[in-house]
Amino acid sequence: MIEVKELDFAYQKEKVLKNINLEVKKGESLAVIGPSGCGKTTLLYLLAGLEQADQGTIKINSQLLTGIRDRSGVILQDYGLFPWKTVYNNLALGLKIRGAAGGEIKEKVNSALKRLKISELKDKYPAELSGGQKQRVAVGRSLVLAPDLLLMDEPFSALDALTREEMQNLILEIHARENFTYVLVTHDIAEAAFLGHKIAVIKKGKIAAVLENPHFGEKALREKEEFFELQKKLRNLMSLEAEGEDKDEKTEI
Amino acid sequence: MKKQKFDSLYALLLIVAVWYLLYFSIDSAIISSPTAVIKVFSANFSSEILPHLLMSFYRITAAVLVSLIFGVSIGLLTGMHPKIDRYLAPLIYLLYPIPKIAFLPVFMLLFGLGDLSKIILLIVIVIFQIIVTTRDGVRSIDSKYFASARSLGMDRLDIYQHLVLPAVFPGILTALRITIGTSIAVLFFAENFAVRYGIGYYIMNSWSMVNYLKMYSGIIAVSLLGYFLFKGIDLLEAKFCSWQKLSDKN
Repeated sequence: MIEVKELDFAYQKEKVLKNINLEVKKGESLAVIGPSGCGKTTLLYLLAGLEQADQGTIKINSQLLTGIRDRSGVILQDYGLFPWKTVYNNLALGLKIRGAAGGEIKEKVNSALKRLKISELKDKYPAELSGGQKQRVAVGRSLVLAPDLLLMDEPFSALDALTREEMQNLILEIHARENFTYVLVTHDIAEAAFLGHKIAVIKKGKIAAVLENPHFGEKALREKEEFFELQKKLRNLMSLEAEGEDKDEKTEI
Repeated sequence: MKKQKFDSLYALLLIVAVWYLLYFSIDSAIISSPTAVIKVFSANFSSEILPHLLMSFYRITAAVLVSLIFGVSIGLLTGMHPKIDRYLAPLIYLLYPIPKIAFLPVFMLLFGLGDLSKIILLIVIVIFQIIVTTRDGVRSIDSKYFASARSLGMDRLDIYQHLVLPAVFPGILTALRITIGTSIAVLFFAENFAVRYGIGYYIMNSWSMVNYLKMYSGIIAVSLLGYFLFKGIDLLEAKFCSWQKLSDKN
Protein backbone atom coordinates (compact mmCIF):
# COMPACT_ATOMS: atom_id res chain seq x y z
CA MET A 1 0.00 0.00 0.00
CA ILE A 2 2.64 2.54 1.07
CA GLU A 3 6.26 2.36 -0.04
CA VAL A 4 8.60 5.12 1.03
CA LYS A 5 12.12 5.01 -0.35
CA GLU A 6 15.13 7.14 0.57
CA LEU A 7 13.01 10.16 1.38
CA ASP A 8 14.69 13.48 2.18
CA PHE A 9 13.00 16.73 3.07
CA ALA A 10 14.49 20.06 4.06
CA TYR A 11 12.74 23.15 5.29
CA GLN A 12 14.68 26.33 4.52
CA LYS A 13 17.96 24.45 4.25
CA GLU A 14 17.39 22.63 7.53
CA LYS A 15 17.12 18.90 6.95
CA VAL A 16 13.91 17.70 8.58
CA LEU A 17 13.79 14.14 7.27
CA LYS A 18 16.78 12.06 6.25
CA ASN A 19 16.72 8.83 4.27
CA ILE A 20 13.32 7.56 5.37
CA ASN A 21 12.41 4.05 4.23
CA LEU A 22 9.05 2.54 5.16
CA GLU A 23 6.58 -0.02 3.99
CA VAL A 24 2.98 -0.47 5.11
CA LYS A 25 0.82 -3.28 3.73
CA LYS A 26 -2.79 -2.85 2.71
CA GLY A 27 -5.12 -2.89 5.71
CA GLU A 28 -2.23 -2.46 8.13
CA SER A 29 -1.58 0.44 10.41
CA LEU A 30 1.57 2.33 11.22
CA ALA A 31 2.08 4.48 14.29
CA VAL A 32 4.88 7.02 14.02
CA ILE A 33 6.20 8.17 17.38
CA GLY A 34 8.88 10.62 18.38
CA PRO A 35 9.50 13.77 20.41
CA SER A 36 8.16 17.09 19.08
CA GLY A 37 10.23 18.56 16.29
CA CYS A 38 11.51 15.15 15.13
CA GLY A 39 9.89 15.47 11.71
CA LYS A 40 6.94 13.12 12.18
CA THR A 41 4.29 15.66 11.16
CA THR A 42 6.34 16.52 8.06
CA LEU A 43 6.36 12.81 7.17
CA LEU A 44 2.56 12.76 7.39
CA TYR A 45 2.25 15.91 5.25
CA LEU A 46 4.48 14.25 2.64
CA LEU A 47 2.32 11.10 2.69
CA ALA A 48 -0.76 13.31 2.28
CA GLY A 49 0.76 15.08 -0.69
CA LEU A 50 0.57 18.43 1.13
CA GLU A 51 4.36 18.77 0.84
CA GLN A 52 6.73 17.52 -1.85
CA ALA A 53 9.90 15.58 -1.03
CA ASP A 54 13.30 16.92 -2.08
CA GLN A 55 14.55 13.44 -2.82
CA GLY A 56 13.25 9.88 -2.76
CA THR A 57 9.85 8.49 -3.65
CA ILE A 58 6.50 7.72 -2.08
CA LYS A 59 4.36 5.11 -3.79
CA ILE A 60 0.77 4.48 -2.76
CA ASN A 61 -0.89 1.44 -4.33
CA SER A 62 2.23 1.18 -6.53
CA GLN A 63 1.59 4.63 -7.94
CA LEU A 64 4.03 7.46 -7.48
CA LEU A 65 2.54 10.15 -5.23
CA THR A 66 2.69 13.56 -6.90
CA GLY A 67 -0.03 15.49 -5.10
CA ILE A 68 -3.17 15.11 -3.02
CA ARG A 69 -4.94 11.76 -3.54
CA ASP A 70 -8.70 11.56 -3.83
CA ARG A 71 -8.88 8.47 -1.61
CA SER A 72 -6.56 9.60 1.18
CA GLY A 73 -8.37 10.96 4.23
CA VAL A 74 -6.40 13.39 6.37
CA ILE A 75 -7.10 14.35 9.97
CA LEU A 76 -4.92 17.25 11.03
CA GLN A 77 -3.89 18.45 14.48
CA ASP A 78 -6.66 20.57 16.04
CA TYR A 79 -9.21 19.05 13.64
CA GLY A 80 -9.20 21.62 10.78
CA LEU A 81 -13.01 21.94 10.85
CA PHE A 82 -14.40 25.10 9.25
CA PRO A 83 -16.03 27.19 12.00
CA TRP A 84 -18.56 28.74 9.56
CA LYS A 85 -19.99 25.39 8.52
CA THR A 86 -22.31 23.22 10.56
CA VAL A 87 -21.32 19.65 11.43
CA TYR A 88 -23.43 18.39 8.51
CA ASN A 89 -21.85 20.81 6.04
CA ASN A 90 -18.34 20.08 7.29
CA LEU A 91 -18.96 16.39 6.54
CA ALA A 92 -20.60 17.12 3.19
CA LEU A 93 -17.81 19.41 1.97
CA GLY A 94 -15.42 16.77 0.60
CA LEU A 95 -18.23 15.07 -1.32
CA LYS A 96 -19.54 18.39 -2.60
CA ILE A 97 -16.23 19.45 -4.11
CA ARG A 98 -15.89 16.02 -5.71
CA GLY A 99 -19.15 16.76 -7.50
CA ALA A 100 -21.32 14.15 -5.76
CA ALA A 101 -25.07 14.38 -6.32
CA GLY A 102 -27.30 15.89 -3.61
CA GLY A 103 -29.00 12.58 -2.75
CA GLU A 104 -25.70 10.73 -2.48
CA ILE A 105 -24.24 13.42 -0.21
CA LYS A 106 -27.25 13.27 2.08
CA GLU A 107 -27.18 9.51 2.33
CA LYS A 108 -23.43 9.23 2.95
CA VAL A 109 -23.29 12.10 5.45
CA ASN A 110 -26.28 10.87 7.43
CA SER A 111 -24.90 7.34 7.55
CA ALA A 112 -21.49 8.61 8.76
CA LEU A 113 -23.21 10.79 11.39
CA LYS A 114 -25.12 7.75 12.61
CA ARG A 115 -22.07 5.48 12.70
CA LEU A 116 -20.15 8.06 14.74
CA LYS A 117 -23.19 8.68 16.99
CA ILE A 118 -23.26 12.41 16.29
CA SER A 119 -26.55 12.69 14.35
CA GLU A 120 -28.03 15.02 16.94
CA LEU A 121 -25.12 17.45 16.46
CA LYS A 122 -25.58 17.90 12.73
CA ASP A 123 -26.92 21.46 12.87
CA LYS A 124 -24.37 22.67 15.40
CA TYR A 125 -21.27 24.70 14.63
CA PRO A 126 -17.80 23.44 15.68
CA ALA A 127 -17.59 26.13 18.39
CA GLU A 128 -20.55 24.49 20.15
CA LEU A 129 -18.86 21.07 20.40
CA SER A 130 -16.58 19.48 23.00
CA GLY A 131 -13.10 18.29 21.99
CA GLY A 132 -14.25 14.68 21.64
CA GLN A 133 -17.25 15.67 19.54
CA LYS A 134 -15.07 17.81 17.27
CA GLN A 135 -12.76 14.84 16.86
CA ARG A 136 -15.67 12.63 15.84
CA VAL A 137 -16.69 15.20 13.24
CA ALA A 138 -13.11 15.32 11.91
CA VAL A 139 -13.08 11.50 11.65
CA GLY A 140 -16.48 11.65 9.95
CA ARG A 141 -15.28 14.23 7.45
CA SER A 142 -12.62 11.79 6.28
CA LEU A 143 -14.80 8.69 6.48
CA VAL A 144 -17.55 9.97 4.16
CA LEU A 145 -14.95 9.98 1.38
CA ALA A 146 -14.51 6.19 1.84
CA PRO A 147 -10.72 6.48 2.04
CA ASP A 148 -8.42 3.53 1.43
CA LEU A 149 -5.76 5.39 3.40
CA LEU A 150 -6.32 7.48 6.51
CA LEU A 151 -3.57 9.81 7.72
CA MET A 152 -3.82 11.25 11.23
CA ASP A 153 -1.59 13.89 12.80
CA GLU A 154 -1.76 13.68 16.61
CA PRO A 155 -5.53 13.51 16.35
CA PHE A 156 -6.26 12.90 20.03
CA SER A 157 -3.57 14.94 21.76
CA ALA A 158 -5.98 17.66 22.93
CA LEU A 159 -8.45 15.22 24.51
CA ASP A 160 -8.72 14.09 28.12
CA ALA A 161 -7.51 10.55 28.89
CA LEU A 162 -10.92 8.84 28.87
CA THR A 163 -12.17 10.52 25.68
CA ARG A 164 -8.85 9.74 24.06
CA GLU A 165 -9.26 6.01 24.82
CA GLU A 166 -12.82 6.15 23.56
CA MET A 167 -11.64 7.68 20.26
CA GLN A 168 -8.82 5.13 19.97
CA ASN A 169 -11.40 2.35 20.35
CA LEU A 170 -13.55 4.03 17.72
CA ILE A 171 -10.67 4.09 15.22
CA LEU A 172 -10.00 0.39 15.80
CA GLU A 173 -13.69 -0.40 15.44
CA ILE A 174 -14.02 1.49 12.14
CA HIS A 175 -10.74 0.07 10.90
CA ALA A 176 -11.91 -3.50 11.59
CA ARG A 177 -15.11 -2.83 9.66
CA GLU A 178 -13.81 -0.84 6.71
CA ASN A 179 -10.33 -2.26 6.44
CA PHE A 180 -8.47 0.84 5.28
CA THR A 181 -4.77 1.39 5.85
CA TYR A 182 -3.85 4.11 8.30
CA VAL A 183 -0.85 6.07 9.51
CA LEU A 184 -1.02 7.78 12.88
CA VAL A 185 1.50 10.29 14.13
CA THR A 186 1.64 10.63 17.92
CA HIS A 187 3.88 11.48 20.84
CA ASP A 188 1.88 9.27 23.19
CA ILE A 189 3.56 5.89 23.85
CA ALA A 190 0.35 4.09 24.90
CA GLU A 191 -1.47 5.38 21.83
CA ALA A 192 1.25 4.13 19.50
CA ALA A 193 1.24 0.73 21.21
CA PHE A 194 -2.55 0.51 20.98
CA LEU A 195 -3.10 1.74 17.43
CA GLY A 196 -0.08 0.55 15.42
CA HIS A 197 0.47 -2.83 13.73
CA LYS A 198 3.92 -1.40 13.28
CA ILE A 199 5.47 1.37 15.30
CA ALA A 200 8.18 3.55 13.82
CA VAL A 201 10.32 5.54 16.25
CA ILE A 202 11.73 8.71 14.69
CA LYS A 203 14.74 10.52 16.05
CA LYS A 204 16.03 13.77 14.60
CA GLY A 205 14.53 13.11 11.21
CA LYS A 206 15.71 9.51 10.97
CA ILE A 207 13.90 6.25 11.67
CA ALA A 208 15.59 4.88 14.80
CA ALA A 209 13.58 1.62 14.97
CA VAL A 210 10.49 -0.09 13.63
CA LEU A 211 8.74 -2.44 16.06
CA GLU A 212 6.15 -5.06 15.18
CA ASN A 213 3.07 -5.24 17.38
CA PRO A 214 1.75 -8.81 17.13
CA HIS A 215 -1.02 -8.15 19.67
CA PHE A 216 -2.58 -5.28 17.73
CA GLY A 217 -6.36 -5.23 17.88
CA GLU A 218 -6.70 -7.88 20.60
CA LYS A 219 -9.60 -7.52 22.99
CA ALA A 220 -8.88 -5.74 26.25
CA LEU A 221 -5.32 -5.13 25.06
CA ARG A 222 -4.92 -2.25 27.46
CA GLU A 223 -5.05 -4.64 30.43
CA LYS A 224 -2.62 -7.19 29.02
CA GLU A 225 0.95 -7.73 30.08
CA GLU A 226 2.17 -7.61 26.45
CA PHE A 227 0.79 -4.10 26.05
CA PHE A 228 2.88 -2.87 28.97
CA GLU A 229 5.92 -4.75 27.70
CA LEU A 230 5.66 -3.02 24.35
CA GLN A 231 5.27 0.35 26.01
CA LYS A 232 8.33 -0.36 28.14
CA LYS A 233 10.29 -1.19 25.00
CA LEU A 234 9.13 1.98 23.32
CA ARG A 235 9.89 4.05 26.39
CA ASN A 236 13.38 2.60 26.51
CA LEU A 237 13.93 3.42 22.87
CA MET A 238 12.62 6.93 23.38
CA SER A 239 14.60 7.60 26.56
CA LEU A 240 17.73 6.21 24.98
CA GLU A 241 17.12 8.80 22.34
CA ALA A 242 16.60 11.49 24.92
CA GLU A 243 19.91 10.60 26.57
CA GLY A 244 21.48 10.51 23.15
CA GLU A 245 20.14 13.95 22.44
CA ASP A 246 21.48 15.24 25.75
CA LYS A 247 24.89 13.88 24.91
CA ASP A 248 24.78 15.48 21.51
CA GLU A 249 23.85 18.77 23.03
CA LYS A 250 26.67 18.50 25.58
CA THR A 251 29.23 17.80 22.92
CA GLU A 252 27.92 20.76 20.95
CA ILE A 253 28.46 22.99 23.97
CA MET B 1 -36.73 39.93 19.41
CA LYS B 2 -39.00 41.69 21.91
CA LYS B 3 -35.95 42.93 23.71
CA GLN B 4 -34.49 44.36 20.50
CA LYS B 5 -37.69 46.24 19.74
CA PHE B 6 -37.50 47.71 23.22
CA ASP B 7 -33.88 48.74 22.57
CA SER B 8 -34.89 50.77 19.49
CA LEU B 9 -37.85 52.30 21.33
CA TYR B 10 -35.61 53.38 24.19
CA ALA B 11 -33.22 55.10 21.75
CA LEU B 12 -36.12 56.89 20.07
CA LEU B 13 -37.55 58.09 23.41
CA LEU B 14 -34.16 59.32 24.59
CA ILE B 15 -33.57 61.31 21.39
CA VAL B 16 -37.06 62.86 21.50
CA ALA B 17 -36.58 63.71 25.20
CA VAL B 18 -33.28 65.52 24.53
CA TRP B 19 -34.88 67.30 21.59
CA TYR B 20 -37.75 68.52 23.80
CA LEU B 21 -35.24 69.67 26.39
CA LEU B 22 -33.41 71.74 23.76
CA TYR B 23 -36.70 73.02 22.36
CA PHE B 24 -37.86 74.31 25.74
CA SER B 25 -34.49 75.66 26.86
CA ILE B 26 -33.51 77.44 23.62
CA ASP B 27 -36.01 80.04 22.66
CA SER B 28 -35.41 80.19 18.93
CA ALA B 29 -37.26 79.12 15.78
CA ILE B 30 -34.19 77.14 14.68
CA ILE B 31 -35.11 74.38 17.18
CA SER B 32 -38.58 73.29 16.07
CA SER B 33 -41.01 71.50 18.32
CA PRO B 34 -40.74 67.71 17.92
CA THR B 35 -44.53 67.30 17.76
CA ALA B 36 -44.85 69.92 15.02
CA VAL B 37 -42.02 68.25 13.05
CA ILE B 38 -43.54 64.79 13.41
CA LYS B 39 -46.87 66.18 12.19
CA VAL B 40 -45.22 67.74 9.11
CA PHE B 41 -43.17 64.57 8.58
CA SER B 42 -46.19 62.28 8.53
CA ALA B 43 -48.27 64.67 6.43
CA ASN B 44 -45.55 65.01 3.76
CA PHE B 45 -43.87 61.63 3.96
CA SER B 46 -45.39 59.77 1.02
CA SER B 47 -46.06 62.79 -1.18
CA GLU B 48 -42.86 64.78 -0.72
CA ILE B 49 -40.17 63.08 1.34
CA LEU B 50 -40.36 59.52 0.01
CA PRO B 51 -39.32 60.31 -3.61
CA HIS B 52 -36.28 62.21 -2.29
CA LEU B 53 -35.45 59.42 0.12
CA LEU B 54 -35.75 56.71 -2.53
CA MET B 55 -33.40 58.64 -4.80
CA SER B 56 -30.76 58.84 -2.06
CA PHE B 57 -31.34 55.16 -1.21
CA TYR B 58 -30.77 54.26 -4.88
CA ARG B 59 -27.51 56.27 -5.02
CA ILE B 60 -26.16 54.68 -1.84
CA THR B 61 -27.10 51.09 -2.74
CA ALA B 62 -25.71 51.43 -6.26
CA ALA B 63 -22.43 52.81 -4.89
CA VAL B 64 -22.20 50.19 -2.12
CA LEU B 65 -22.91 47.29 -4.49
CA VAL B 66 -20.29 48.41 -7.03
CA SER B 67 -17.78 49.04 -4.21
CA LEU B 68 -18.48 45.59 -2.78
CA ILE B 69 -17.98 43.81 -6.10
CA PHE B 70 -14.72 45.57 -6.95
CA GLY B 71 -13.50 46.16 -3.38
CA VAL B 72 -13.92 42.55 -2.28
CA SER B 73 -12.32 41.25 -5.51
CA ILE B 74 -9.29 43.51 -5.15
CA GLY B 75 -9.08 42.74 -1.42
CA LEU B 76 -9.14 38.98 -2.04
CA LEU B 77 -6.50 39.24 -4.77
CA THR B 78 -4.13 41.34 -2.69
CA GLY B 79 -4.76 39.19 0.41
CA MET B 80 -4.10 35.90 -1.38
CA HIS B 81 -1.20 37.07 -3.56
CA PRO B 82 1.51 39.02 -1.69
CA LYS B 83 3.14 39.83 -5.05
CA ILE B 84 0.07 41.73 -6.27
CA ASP B 85 -0.21 43.37 -2.85
CA ARG B 86 3.36 44.62 -3.15
CA TYR B 87 2.38 46.71 -6.17
CA LEU B 88 -1.15 47.65 -5.15
CA ALA B 89 -0.62 48.45 -1.46
CA PRO B 90 1.43 51.65 -2.02
CA LEU B 91 -1.18 52.83 -4.51
CA ILE B 92 -3.99 52.19 -2.02
CA TYR B 93 -2.09 53.85 0.84
CA LEU B 94 -1.46 56.97 -1.27
CA LEU B 95 -5.01 57.29 -2.55
CA TYR B 96 -6.94 56.28 0.61
CA PRO B 97 -6.30 59.50 2.64
CA ILE B 98 -7.05 61.91 -0.24
CA PRO B 99 -10.14 64.03 0.51
CA LYS B 100 -12.17 62.59 -2.36
CA ILE B 101 -15.04 64.96 -1.73
CA ALA B 102 -12.89 67.75 -3.18
CA PHE B 103 -13.00 65.95 -6.50
CA LEU B 104 -16.78 66.31 -6.87
CA PRO B 105 -16.40 69.18 -9.41
CA VAL B 106 -13.96 67.04 -11.41
CA PHE B 107 -16.36 64.08 -11.37
CA MET B 108 -19.22 66.35 -12.40
CA LEU B 109 -17.19 67.59 -15.37
CA LEU B 110 -16.15 64.08 -16.36
CA PHE B 111 -19.32 62.11 -15.65
CA GLY B 112 -22.03 64.72 -15.99
CA LEU B 113 -24.18 66.57 -13.50
CA GLY B 114 -26.54 63.65 -12.92
CA ASP B 115 -26.45 60.54 -10.71
CA LEU B 116 -23.27 59.04 -12.09
CA SER B 117 -20.91 61.66 -10.67
CA LYS B 118 -22.48 61.34 -7.19
CA ILE B 119 -22.37 57.55 -7.26
CA ILE B 120 -18.74 57.59 -8.38
CA LEU B 121 -17.84 60.00 -5.58
CA LEU B 122 -19.42 57.57 -3.08
CA ILE B 123 -17.62 54.59 -4.66
CA VAL B 124 -14.16 56.17 -4.41
CA ILE B 125 -14.82 56.90 -0.74
CA VAL B 126 -16.32 53.54 0.24
CA ILE B 127 -14.17 51.16 -1.80
CA PHE B 128 -10.87 51.69 0.05
CA GLN B 129 -12.33 50.66 3.38
CA ILE B 130 -13.67 47.48 1.80
CA ILE B 131 -10.39 46.64 0.01
CA VAL B 132 -8.30 47.07 3.15
CA THR B 133 -10.72 45.16 5.42
CA THR B 134 -11.00 42.26 2.97
CA ARG B 135 -7.26 42.04 2.42
CA ASP B 136 -6.48 42.08 6.15
CA GLY B 137 -9.26 39.54 6.73
CA VAL B 138 -7.69 37.14 4.23
CA ARG B 139 -4.27 37.59 5.80
CA SER B 140 -5.54 36.76 9.26
CA ILE B 141 -7.00 33.37 8.26
CA ASP B 142 -5.15 30.67 10.21
CA SER B 143 -2.94 28.62 7.86
CA LYS B 144 -4.34 25.41 9.37
CA TYR B 145 -7.57 26.03 7.43
CA PHE B 146 -5.66 26.17 4.15
CA ALA B 147 -3.93 22.85 4.96
CA SER B 148 -7.32 21.40 5.87
CA ALA B 149 -8.85 22.66 2.62
CA ARG B 150 -6.04 21.28 0.50
CA SER B 151 -6.16 17.93 2.29
CA LEU B 152 -9.83 17.68 1.29
CA GLY B 153 -8.77 18.14 -2.32
CA MET B 154 -10.08 21.69 -2.78
CA ASP B 155 -8.91 23.63 -5.82
CA ARG B 156 -8.39 27.38 -5.92
CA LEU B 157 -12.02 28.19 -6.66
CA ASP B 158 -13.26 25.87 -3.87
CA ILE B 159 -10.88 27.56 -1.45
CA TYR B 160 -12.33 30.99 -2.31
CA GLN B 161 -15.90 29.73 -2.02
CA HIS B 162 -15.70 27.55 1.09
CA LEU B 163 -12.82 29.07 3.03
CA VAL B 164 -11.78 32.61 2.15
CA LEU B 165 -15.13 34.29 1.49
CA PRO B 166 -16.96 32.91 4.55
CA ALA B 167 -13.94 33.77 6.70
CA VAL B 168 -13.80 37.42 5.61
CA PHE B 169 -17.56 38.02 5.39
CA PRO B 170 -18.03 39.25 9.00
CA GLY B 171 -15.22 41.77 8.47
CA ILE B 172 -16.84 42.99 5.25
CA LEU B 173 -20.10 43.60 7.11
CA THR B 174 -18.25 45.67 9.72
CA ALA B 175 -16.62 47.68 6.94
CA LEU B 176 -20.06 48.20 5.40
CA ARG B 177 -21.45 49.53 8.69
CA ILE B 178 -18.66 52.07 8.91
CA THR B 179 -18.86 53.10 5.27
CA ILE B 180 -22.63 53.49 5.26
CA GLY B 181 -22.37 56.22 7.90
CA THR B 182 -19.73 57.97 5.79
CA SER B 183 -21.72 57.51 2.56
CA ILE B 184 -24.82 59.17 3.96
CA ALA B 185 -22.81 62.15 5.16
CA VAL B 186 -21.00 62.49 1.83
CA LEU B 187 -24.20 62.03 -0.16
CA PHE B 188 -25.85 64.81 1.83
CA PHE B 189 -23.09 67.11 0.65
CA ALA B 190 -23.07 65.87 -2.97
CA GLU B 191 -26.82 66.20 -3.28
CA ASN B 192 -26.53 69.94 -2.94
CA PHE B 193 -25.09 70.28 -6.42
CA ALA B 194 -27.14 70.14 -9.60
CA VAL B 195 -29.85 67.76 -8.39
CA ARG B 196 -33.58 68.14 -7.99
CA TYR B 197 -34.08 64.93 -6.04
CA GLY B 198 -32.32 63.48 -3.03
CA ILE B 199 -32.78 63.84 0.70
CA GLY B 200 -29.73 66.12 0.96
CA TYR B 201 -31.31 68.47 -1.55
CA TYR B 202 -34.63 68.35 0.34
CA ILE B 203 -33.01 69.29 3.65
CA MET B 204 -30.87 72.11 2.28
CA ASN B 205 -33.67 73.42 0.11
CA SER B 206 -36.03 73.58 3.11
CA TRP B 207 -33.29 75.29 5.10
CA SER B 208 -32.72 77.98 2.46
CA MET B 209 -36.47 78.57 2.36
CA VAL B 210 -36.43 78.91 6.15
CA ASN B 211 -38.89 76.03 6.49
CA TYR B 212 -37.40 74.43 9.59
CA LEU B 213 -40.25 71.98 10.06
CA LYS B 214 -39.54 70.44 6.65
CA MET B 215 -35.80 70.60 7.25
CA TYR B 216 -36.17 68.56 10.45
CA SER B 217 -38.56 66.17 8.66
CA GLY B 218 -35.78 65.54 6.12
CA ILE B 219 -33.28 64.95 8.93
CA ILE B 220 -35.63 62.38 10.48
CA ALA B 221 -35.87 60.69 7.08
CA VAL B 222 -32.04 60.47 6.83
CA SER B 223 -31.92 58.97 10.29
CA LEU B 224 -34.53 56.37 9.32
CA LEU B 225 -32.65 55.59 6.09
CA GLY B 226 -29.51 54.87 8.09
CA TYR B 227 -31.47 52.86 10.65
CA PHE B 228 -32.95 50.53 8.04
CA LEU B 229 -29.64 50.10 6.22
CA PHE B 230 -27.95 49.14 9.51
CA LYS B 231 -30.81 46.77 10.33
CA GLY B 232 -30.37 45.18 6.90
CA ILE B 233 -26.71 44.51 7.66
CA ASP B 234 -27.69 43.09 11.08
CA LEU B 235 -30.04 40.67 9.31
CA LEU B 236 -27.31 39.54 6.92
CA GLU B 237 -25.02 39.03 9.89
CA ALA B 238 -27.61 36.99 11.80
CA LYS B 239 -28.20 34.82 8.74
CA PHE B 240 -24.63 34.19 7.60
CA CYS B 241 -22.35 34.89 10.56
CA SER B 242 -24.07 33.30 13.55
CA TRP B 243 -21.07 30.96 13.82
CA GLN B 244 -18.88 33.92 14.68
CA LYS B 245 -20.62 34.82 17.92
CA LEU B 246 -20.28 31.20 19.02
CA SER B 247 -16.57 31.20 18.20
CA ASP B 248 -16.07 34.43 20.12
CA LYS B 249 -17.63 32.90 23.21
CA ASN B 250 -15.14 30.02 23.24
